[in-house]
Amino acid sequence: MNFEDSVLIRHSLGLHARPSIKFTSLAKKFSSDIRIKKGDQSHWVNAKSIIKVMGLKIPSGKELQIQADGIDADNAVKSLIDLVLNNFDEE
Amino acid sequence: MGQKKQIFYGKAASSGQSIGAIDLIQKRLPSSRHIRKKNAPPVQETLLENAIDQAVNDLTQLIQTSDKLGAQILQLQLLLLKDPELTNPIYAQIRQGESATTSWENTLNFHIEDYVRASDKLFQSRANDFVDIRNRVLRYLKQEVRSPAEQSNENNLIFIAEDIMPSQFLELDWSRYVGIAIVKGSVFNHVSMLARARQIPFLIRMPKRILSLSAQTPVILDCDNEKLIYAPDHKTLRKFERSFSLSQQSENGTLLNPVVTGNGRQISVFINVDDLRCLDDISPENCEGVGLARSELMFFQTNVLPNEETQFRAYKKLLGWAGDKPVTIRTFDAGGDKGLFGLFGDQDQSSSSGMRGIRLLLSNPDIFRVQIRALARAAVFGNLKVLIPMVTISQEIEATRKQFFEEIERLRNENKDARMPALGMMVETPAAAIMIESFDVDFFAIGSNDLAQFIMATSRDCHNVEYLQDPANPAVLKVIRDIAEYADANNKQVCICGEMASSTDLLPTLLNLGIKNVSVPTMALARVKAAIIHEQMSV
Repeated sequence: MNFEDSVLIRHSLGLHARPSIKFTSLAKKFSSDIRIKKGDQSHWVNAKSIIKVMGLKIPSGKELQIQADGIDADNAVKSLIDLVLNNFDEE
Repeated sequence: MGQKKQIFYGKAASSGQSIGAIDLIQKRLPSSRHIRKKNAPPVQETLLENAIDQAVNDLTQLIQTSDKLGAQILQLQLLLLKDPELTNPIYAQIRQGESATTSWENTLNFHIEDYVRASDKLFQSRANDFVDIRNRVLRYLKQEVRSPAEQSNENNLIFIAEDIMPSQFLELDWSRYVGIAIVKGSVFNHVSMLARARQIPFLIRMPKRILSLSAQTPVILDCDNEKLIYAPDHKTLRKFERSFSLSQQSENGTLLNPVVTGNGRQISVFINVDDLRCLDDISPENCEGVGLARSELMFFQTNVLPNEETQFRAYKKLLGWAGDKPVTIRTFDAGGDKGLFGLFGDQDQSSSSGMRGIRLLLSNPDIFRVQIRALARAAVFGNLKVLIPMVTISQEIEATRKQFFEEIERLRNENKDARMPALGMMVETPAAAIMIESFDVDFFAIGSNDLAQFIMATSRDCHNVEYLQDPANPAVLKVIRDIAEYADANNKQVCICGEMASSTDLLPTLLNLGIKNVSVPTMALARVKAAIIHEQMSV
């Protein structure tokens, strides 16, 4: 099963250390392969890797695209989008 | 023996003052000469695995003894060390015949460089975390054992080094250290955050010469004046100790407002509020009110652009704390060197004379409008004064006032209480200072750092022009005196709220220029009050 969606990063620091930690820990809870990329780029990276996710250095106001492939792909993408929409549970 | 007094200037990453002895921490990165003869790839792989395991063990233990912030910072390092996306390419290099040490070092250096080159200062400051794990694993790869004997047994030490890593900071025995001064550093990185959270005086970007100072020599680390005094003479030391004890007395509540100088002038001392949590530790009785609440920093802790309700609640809380005393809230001042990157998207914020302050707000009406609504609603609950940053021409004030009127009208149509607060401006640009009479505002605040920088046409980031980076240059002082005189003649309040106000070196000069209001960080409140009384008495 393949699923894809995108979301705007509103966290004022962007996809920084703490948000990246939360993002990757949530991604690891799913068995699907999950990839993300910065909206305007074509380079996809492993959403379960802290070095890759933080390494995208996505600032606030940029779009994040999430793609999952696997049995829980639908749920994975939705949950990760929710995390971003809730500003990584930081307020 | 007989060391000569020297003064070194840097940048404060955390405020405060302390007296101690130098503990010179040498770089402990081992040289490549000690690397053992290269073994076959499987052995090299095991070497790296073991080194990473040991580093993981270290960090896991350190997390257990660290506070929440420290643990969070180390958690990042731990996750990086355990990330196969980091380590797999390194093992692949080893299998192709490269040594464990070289592969690890090259790969980590690649990541460090990548962060150093990032366009966002906050991302740049993450490079430090990579340096930290690089060094820790390298130490194990090169089988360097750090003997505890290397740490000195003295007390009251000032940590002096080229740089300091987060884990190094967390490993230090803080019962023996009273401050840090380093050559590198960034106010945004994790070590600076830790130092601020623990209120440890911390100077960064010091001249390299501090690394060749003699260990154990006494020094005064004065972050409030951003300097390190090496081998202070008895007079300097006594003066410092006296102001130290005076400020402790006043901390004990012996100095009450209003602060009257020795020659009878009354000076109003306000506080700067960046974080509402600091209000828990201070009573409004101890100051004349809030002279500067930097709204962009009030919400920094939540890391999110706050909506109208969040802002309204915070402003109302601040006004509630102050009772009938005035509360000056500055509208968002993102841009320049202020660490609020990303909030306004992609606009150019890198330059201190570019898109920042009111310029940025007026060009982002959606964000400004929300803040104006929250402020106008909060104004009902106390004595609110709204301060506009980086004003250059009078039209900017008029545009702001118009937006206030429009939003108040809208709010009332929505049956919400709202009021027009007093409107004031930061005098930071030479244009505003020169044409001060053209601005229709209720009060002024002088942003001494920016004003000095613009008048002297230099900034602290520029090297080799240090001789011009002098906030006490007669040109700067003349402009400040003119502003004070104009405000006085027109019955308008003018307050100094930059670093100059809490510099006990410059304070007497400011008072002599006719400044009657200063706003300082809560931590400097007692010290500044003490300095006002003390300095004037000696006149």
